[in-house]
Amino acid sequence: MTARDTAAGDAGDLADAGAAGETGHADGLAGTGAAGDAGGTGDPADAGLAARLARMISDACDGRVTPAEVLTAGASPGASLSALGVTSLALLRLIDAVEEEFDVVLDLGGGAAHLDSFPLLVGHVAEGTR
Amino acid sequence: MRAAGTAGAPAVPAPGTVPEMLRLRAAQDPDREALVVEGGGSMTFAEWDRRADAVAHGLLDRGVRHGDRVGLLFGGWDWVDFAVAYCAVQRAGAVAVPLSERLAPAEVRHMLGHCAASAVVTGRDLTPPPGDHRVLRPAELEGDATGPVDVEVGPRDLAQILYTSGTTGLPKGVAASHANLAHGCETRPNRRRFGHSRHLLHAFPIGTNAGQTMLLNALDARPAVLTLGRFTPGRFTRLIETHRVGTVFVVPAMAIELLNTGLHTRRDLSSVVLLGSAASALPPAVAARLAEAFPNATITNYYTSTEAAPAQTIMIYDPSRPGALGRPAFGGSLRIAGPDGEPLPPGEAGEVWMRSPTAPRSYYRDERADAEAFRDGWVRMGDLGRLDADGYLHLLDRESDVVKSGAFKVSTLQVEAALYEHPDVAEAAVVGLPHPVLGTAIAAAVVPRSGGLTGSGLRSFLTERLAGHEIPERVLVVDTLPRNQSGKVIKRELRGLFDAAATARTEGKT
Repeated sequence: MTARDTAAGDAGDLADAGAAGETGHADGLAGTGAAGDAGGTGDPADAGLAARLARMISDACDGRVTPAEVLTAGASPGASLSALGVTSLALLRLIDAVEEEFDVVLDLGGGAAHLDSFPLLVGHVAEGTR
Repeated sequence: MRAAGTAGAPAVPAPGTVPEMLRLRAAQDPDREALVVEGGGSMTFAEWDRRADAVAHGLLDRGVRHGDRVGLLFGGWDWVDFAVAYCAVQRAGAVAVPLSERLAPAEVRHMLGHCAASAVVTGRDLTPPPGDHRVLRPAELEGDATGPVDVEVGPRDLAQILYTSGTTGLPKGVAASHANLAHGCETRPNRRRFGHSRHLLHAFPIGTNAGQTMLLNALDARPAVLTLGRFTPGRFTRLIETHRVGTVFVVPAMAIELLNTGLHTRRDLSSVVLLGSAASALPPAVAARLAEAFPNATITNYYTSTEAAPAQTIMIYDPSRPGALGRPAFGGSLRIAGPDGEPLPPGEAGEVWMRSPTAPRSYYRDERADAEAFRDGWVRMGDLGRLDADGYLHLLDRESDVVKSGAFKVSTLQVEAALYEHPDVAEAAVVGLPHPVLGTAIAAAVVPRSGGLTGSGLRSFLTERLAGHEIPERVLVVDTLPRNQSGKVIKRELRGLFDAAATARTEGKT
């Protein structure tokens, strides 16, 4: 019987990269197209923000989702963070972390689509910090 | 969570219905704050009363009739409008069916269809799935008509249906009469519950039994009920500090997450004198940590269920009885039952049964399940337990198709059924895995029909079918499921597969 834990690395290919990048790996990806596109603005500052948020999401997931996965799979068109394995528990941790670090509120009222989309999340935080 | 009132004749007759509870309180405390939602406004009792009348007129004008079921689809940021609509529906003689925005569209569709709702009142930014019901907004229902509506509502009338996960896979509707909900309403101003507090803080979702209990507390307890759109430890502790909150209700997962952040060392939580935990048993180690984090608080665990309320046991944390869940309170009864339903002596393990002190609840439109769960006024809780020599309840572990994850019951059968709807899933099995915060995390193992099945693809697929808390955190793609000779999945071995996968990942083998 073989088994593949898809939450760990849907991903298997990225798991090594993610593990290798435990320190600063996300920053290393910040200049890549994936990160640059995440905010949808092409602004290098947003790429840095994307990398930081990817790391925060990974931390909120206790590392079960890696920054690399967020920056690649999470940034692809139509991708959702919940599909990537970002649970409601991880989300509440992320909300607190973003409020603490950026002073940006993520979820006032309903219809907060940016809570389930990495590109929209980056755009929302970028907007809130300008 | 609705602590027993004090004996003695009430100053005024106790209300027999929820609308009467609101009417009485509005007369007693018109300008007192009833409900406060962080970032979502507040409401006095007079406002609640007036708006509930106005919305009730609006509902009747649009054809809602006595006994109709009316869905109430609201998010946590909309508690004020939800509370208005809830009482308005009941003033119109109809039955409130609270539905959380966290539910998946397919679940809402099932619930509205099951109870044959004639209308759905929805909060901001929400759209219910299509069906044979009218969609109404609170603002459009509040017209010029004011004052009481001309509808008789009595204690025996059905007041509320709450949907909860059941052992057969589909959610079950738990129906409660006004007598059930209004039981124990305290009308004497100097005897109101939680009299030591100006604010009672909670973060229970709309549509859960705990959330609905807090709504009833708002109607007759002393403190204003304070809540927020979404629980986070940062917001929760900030609210405690800024409002000097005296009473706090959490589920164990919230308590654990709060403790893990260490925020209790940075925020002033000294105002809290009662910290209540509900929805699942508070682990003794967590209770001990809470007692340190909230130095002035009595840590209390409440054990009940959507089916059994208002029957409950209450346990003030006692280090000498760390695992105890307390004794029956609020006039209800408790027994450990043997196979024939007869009570077992202390020390012997059996099924936990509770009996409501008032009109019991029932399963709506599900006679078979109703007969299975409700017996002569007793409710089978679905848990195994024993009583100690002093009558304190202790729960025992059991293998169940319903697991508690955070604040929610999750039917693993329902998750499996949703997985089987995926065209590439040949077999599926779902188990609960121990989780340090949630108590239990949902994990799914699937056998694919073909290659290309991924965890993210499956979760995307499930989003339309299951609520967020039901979507598996762990997804394992396997060649076969471990089964016994009769073909039943051996869940113990299945859990071992997840453990092995996690170990392999830690060691870099995957």
